[in-house]
Amino acid sequence: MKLPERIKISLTGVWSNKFRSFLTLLGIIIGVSSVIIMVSLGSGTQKVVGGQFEELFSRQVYLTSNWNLPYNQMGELSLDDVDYLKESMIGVVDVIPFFRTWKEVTYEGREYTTSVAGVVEKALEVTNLKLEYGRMISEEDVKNHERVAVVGQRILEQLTGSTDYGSFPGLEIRIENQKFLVVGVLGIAASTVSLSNETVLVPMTTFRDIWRMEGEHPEFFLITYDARTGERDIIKQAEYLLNNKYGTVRGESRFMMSGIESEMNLINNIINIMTMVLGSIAAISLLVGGIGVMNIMLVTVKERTREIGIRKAIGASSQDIQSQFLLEAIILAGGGGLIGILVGVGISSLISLILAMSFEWWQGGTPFWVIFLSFAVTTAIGIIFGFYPAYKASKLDPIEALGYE
Amino acid sequence: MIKAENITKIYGKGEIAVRALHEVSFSVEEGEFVAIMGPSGSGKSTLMNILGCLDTATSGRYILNGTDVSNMSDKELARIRNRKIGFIFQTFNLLPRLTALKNVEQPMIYRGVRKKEREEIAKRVLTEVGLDDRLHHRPNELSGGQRQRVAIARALVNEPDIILADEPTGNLDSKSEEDILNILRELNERGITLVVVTHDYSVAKYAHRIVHFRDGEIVKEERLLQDDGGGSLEVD
Repeated sequence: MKLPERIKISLTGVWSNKFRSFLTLLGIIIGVSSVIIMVSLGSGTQKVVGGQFEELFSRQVYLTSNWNLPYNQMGELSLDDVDYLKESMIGVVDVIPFFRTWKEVTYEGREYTTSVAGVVEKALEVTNLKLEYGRMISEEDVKNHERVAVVGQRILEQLTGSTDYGSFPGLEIRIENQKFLVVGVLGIAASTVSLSNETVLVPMTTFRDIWRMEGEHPEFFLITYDARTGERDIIKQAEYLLNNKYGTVRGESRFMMSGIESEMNLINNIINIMTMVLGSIAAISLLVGGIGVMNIMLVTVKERTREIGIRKAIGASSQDIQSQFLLEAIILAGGGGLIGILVGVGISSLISLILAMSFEWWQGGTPFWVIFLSFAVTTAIGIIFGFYPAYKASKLDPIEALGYE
Repeated sequence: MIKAENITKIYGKGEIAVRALHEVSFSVEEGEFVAIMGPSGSGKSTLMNILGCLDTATSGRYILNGTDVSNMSDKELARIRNRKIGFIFQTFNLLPRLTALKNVEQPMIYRGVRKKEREEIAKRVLTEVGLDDRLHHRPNELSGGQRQRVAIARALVNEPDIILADEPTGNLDSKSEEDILNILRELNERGITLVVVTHDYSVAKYAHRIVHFRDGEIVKEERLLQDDGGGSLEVD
């Protein structure tokens, strides 16, 4: 007997109890669709988070004053520390200083108060900021104390009332009455340091010329290091060097440092734990669904005892009967899986669509592996939970089965 | 065609064991129409089940059309039931969710006949039993006589060596009973070997030979002369 014939017989069996079959499937449908929704949204989140960390220099340490200390005891970085750290530390690639202040930015009478950072040309690549139009501040700009600025698109939007970002380079803006030429536009990007598309970048040298007070001490350093060196090692070295130079306050460093490697691990851990918790809930619902399949198959076998007897009398072997009921269980469970996949993909696409409308950075999508896996798992559930009822059916004595009312 | 030698069937074990058949030897010639008669509990149904390969004897030999089926596996027995035996039951035993046509197709599905050929054969046989206008009716849309005719068609489609009928008219009114018995007689006249189990003499008298059962043993055989309308001749 060929497989298509067997499938047809089993399909008839499932179909003749449409409503009951559907109810049985409901457990599996809910289980599978929740797995798919969960994985789709989970992997979407992970993709966004992971993707942004990947883009950025993940091997970097943020170094700033220890804000936990009283104002007069906090350490203050100086530009000398750049070379001091760079020369004394093992494994360091670069030390990049950032100056910062809050200023009023004006353009044609409109004003916007925002953070202004004094940076060197290397700031862009290590901060994960994204240059949408124009160019970044160059080495020349820094050297020649140029009055140029790379401005976040959000600021320009507010100042000009236009969203024609491409036209922004070339505009002349004022930062606290100092004229600056816009050379570049920063787009949307999540940066680890608090710089964003609402920040104005100007050459470090220019910054220090104009704002002498804020220009005295860099607000923070980003220390990048090579692949052979660990985050903890870098933090230890930097702490040691700075403690040596500036001393400590009752054993506490005047500076604080944090790396994103450990933050990234933390986020990944949280996502993994969430996935595991949700995954086990899904597994339980699939188990319950499987038990439902077994239950309904046992009822079916009982109800159709006579059919089994008839089929045996007209030439079905025990194996034929077993495969018929096993296939029914697989069709039930696998069918539930398919419907669950459709429902799950549908709902997660809908949620993704809504998220994408609210958050431009959202990237959803159901990974293919989860669809395959769901189908494979539900089919396996059919086999596992259908085996016993099918075995029971196959072992029925045809004479007794024929006499069964 | 059928040769059963010293068939004994015992149900259960030890003290609760029940002997349903005791050393029964029984044979049916090719083309014969035999009726097995006896009160309930006489062992006639047990013999029928063994002849139909639905059950196996505790001891003894059963040879069906030259093949010894006494020690066959479940799979081999299923094959014999499928190809060599056609069953007709008192309660028709049709699959309730399938149409007449589909019901008749079932044995051919297990034989591995292609769909198109299956449908052709099923239609032809259903036409032969006079149901060409009931192909797509389900059993609950058919009368008792019609249902039994579907069952007869189902028993015929795989061209079995022998047809076994267990009280084929037990659930029918007298008009349908006559129809069914006439169909069975026609089949036999076409050369099909027929064994009918019944407790009703008016059914048994259609046969060439009546075998009487009591307490698991054959007590009497009578041979009937059908040509002159049912005179009887007793043999032992």
